[in-house]
Amino acid sequence: MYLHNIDYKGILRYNIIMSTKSPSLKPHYAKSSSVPKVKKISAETIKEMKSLIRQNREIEEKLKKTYGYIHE
Amino acid sequence: MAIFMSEKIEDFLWEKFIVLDNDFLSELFKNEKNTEELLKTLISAQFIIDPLTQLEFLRDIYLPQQRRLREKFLKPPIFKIEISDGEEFNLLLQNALLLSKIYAHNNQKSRSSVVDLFLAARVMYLHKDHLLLTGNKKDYNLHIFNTVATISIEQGDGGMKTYSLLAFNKEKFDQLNKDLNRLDLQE
Repeated sequence: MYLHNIDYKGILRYNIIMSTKSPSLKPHYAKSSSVPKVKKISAETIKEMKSLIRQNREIEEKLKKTYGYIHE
Repeated sequence: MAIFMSEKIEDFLWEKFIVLDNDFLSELFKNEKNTEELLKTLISAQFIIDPLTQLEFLRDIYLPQQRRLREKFLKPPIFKIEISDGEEFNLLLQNALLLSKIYAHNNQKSRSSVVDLFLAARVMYLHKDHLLLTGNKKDYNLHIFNTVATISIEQGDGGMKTYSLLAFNKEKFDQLNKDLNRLDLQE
C-alpha cells in the first residue's frame, strides 16, 4: 500500500463521527424544585464572616511580609 | 473598592438559587466590605455550592489555620452545599457528558474543565430556578447559557473583574441536541 492511497479524510471523518456517537443519552431535568425562603442572615452572621475574611487576610499579609509571597 | 451590578438585579434574583463558581466564591473571601454589600444586596437568593466547587475552594491550602477559616466560611446559612445522591449524581453525569458532546461541536471542548461541566449539568438539571454565577463565562457554551445579569467588582490593582449570571436556555439546548442526534442517525 502506498501512502497516497490512504483515505486520511475518510479516517478523520470516521473518528469524528464515532466520537460523537452515544448510547442514547437523554437530557435530565428535575421534576420539581423547592422554592427557597428568603435567607435570614443575622447581623451576627455577617460580623462572623467578616471576621473570618479579615483573619485570613492578616495571615496572608504576614506570609507576604515574612516570605515575600503568599503560599497558596 | 466599588461594586457595580445590573439594574434591578435584586428583583431578578428573588428566591432563586445561584450556583457559585469557585472564582466568585474566592472573591467573596477576599474583601469583607464587598462581601457584606453583596450579601445584603443578594439576600433573597440562596447561594449553592457544588461539592466539586467546595473541593476547589478548600484544596491545596498550605496552612491548617487558613483551611479552618475557609471551612467555617462555607457553613450555613449563607451557603448551601448541594450534595447529590447516587441516582441524581448519575443523571448529572449524563447531562455533563451530553453537554460535552454539544460543546465538541461548538469549539468549546478545550475550554471547559470537568468541574465546569458538572456545574453546567447541575444548572441544566434544575434550570427552572437555578442560575450560575461565574467570572469565566467562556467556560460555558454561550448558546446554551445566556448572560442575564452582571456584577463587576473593582480589584485592588484598579482593574475590574466582571462576574456573569448565566441562565440555561432550554430551547437552544433542545435545538443543538436535535442536531447532535441527527448526526448520530446519519451513520
